Formats: sequence, C-alpha cells, structure tokens
Amino acid sequence: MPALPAAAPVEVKEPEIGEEVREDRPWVVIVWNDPINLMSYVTFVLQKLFGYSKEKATKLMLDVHHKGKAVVSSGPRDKAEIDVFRLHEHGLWATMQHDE
Amino acid sequence: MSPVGPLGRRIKRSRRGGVELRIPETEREFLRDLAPQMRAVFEDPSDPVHGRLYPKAYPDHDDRETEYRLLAHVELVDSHLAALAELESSAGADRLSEEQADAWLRAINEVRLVLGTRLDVTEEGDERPRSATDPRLPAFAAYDYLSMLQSELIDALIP
Repeated sequence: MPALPAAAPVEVKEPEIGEEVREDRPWVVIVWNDPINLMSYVTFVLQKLFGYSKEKATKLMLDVHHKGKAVVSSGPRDKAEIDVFRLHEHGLWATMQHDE
Repeated sequence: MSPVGPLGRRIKRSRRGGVELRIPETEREFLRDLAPQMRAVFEDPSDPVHGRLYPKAYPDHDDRETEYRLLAHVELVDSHLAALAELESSAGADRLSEEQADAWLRAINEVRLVLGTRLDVTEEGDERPRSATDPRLPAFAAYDYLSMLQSELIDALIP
C-alpha cells in the first residue's frame, strides 16, 4: 500500500476571520491512487456516482493513476460528506478537505 | 490501479435489463463462500484491513473525523454487508438485475481490497510468488479471479 494521504496540504493557520467565514469555503472530494482498485472500476464508479461522461470519468481516473490523486467533486460540507460516503461504499480511497 | 486486458464474453447485457451470467457452478460456489469469510473480517475490529475498508474522510482533522464516523460508520458497514448478502443469495442466478450487478461489483471489490491489502499488492507486481510452493498462491489466485470477474461485469455494464 502507498503512504497514507496524510501528506496532503492542511490548513495550519488559526483563523483571524472567524469560523463561519472559513466554513463558507467550498470543500473538495479527493480520490487517491491505490494499487488494488482496477482502472476500469474507478472509471465506472465515477460515471455512476457523479453522472460524468466516460471521457470525463476516464480523465479523472488517469489523473488519480498518474498524479496520485484527483478532485472528483466539490461543494458544501454536507454534500462532500455524502460523496465521500458513496465513494467509500464502492471501496475507493476518498477524503475531503477545504478548497485551496 | 492495474489494467486488465480484454476478456471473453461470459457476462452479457440482458435484453430484459441487467446482465446474463454464464459462469460455472464452481465459481458460483466460490462466490457464495466469500460472504461468511468477509463477515468474519468485518466483525474483527483488530483486523488491520479495516484501515483500508473504512478510510478516513478527514485525515487531517481528528474532531471532524470522529463526528463523521459516528454518523457514517454503521451505515457503511451495513452497506458492505448488504452487498455481500446479495452476492451470496444471487450467486446461483443466470441473470442479475442492475442493482444486483452493482452489489456484486461492490462485494467483489471489498474482497479484493482485503486480499490485496493482505498480499501487499503493488502496481508493479513485484510481490508475485515465484515459487510453485509459495503459500500465498491460493490468495493470489482468488485475487486474480475476482479481478477478472469484476472486469467482465464492468465490460458488460459499460460497453
């Protein structure tokens, strides 16, 4: 297994502008590369869950494969959590974080 | 991720919806037996594969992760168990509905995650046994078979 995605950039600065403002920033859902999930399966899942075309899903899958990760969706925290959950239901390695 | 080459057509789109399955009884028995083995894995929280079966949603934020897990974990386990139960009960079927085929894909993938994690598979395949007496051979064979079956299902669902 590859290293855990703990090396992903994190917000380290304490807020000067208050928590509510920070919460307004959109969240991004990231799928990480892993050596087990088949490329065709990852493409299939992205098409099914997000309604992406085969071309778009394939491009995202290849980003995951070659760059190690890809942002597959974004939005408010509640929506991002649902997306992460559905990806986990399908065995994909997904996390969420604030957009940078 | 690893690519899998073109495969024969044992699984086809059905005109009535879903897919038609032409696989031998030995494979069906193998698939049926996966569910009880996987239930044992799910029930043992000390099993290190749980880290891969249930990834963190918030790897950098412990409080949010705890909160998320409180809401989502039981539902995620139930969803995995339901997919396995579907695989177990429809292992003998000649045709799978769209929903059943989806459950098969997810259940097969869970087993692949468990086997692949235990076998420490890599994209390069350096870990592959080189000796005919390697005790890991059956697990690799199961892993490769499930990879093939999953590919066949996907090819039938998305031409």
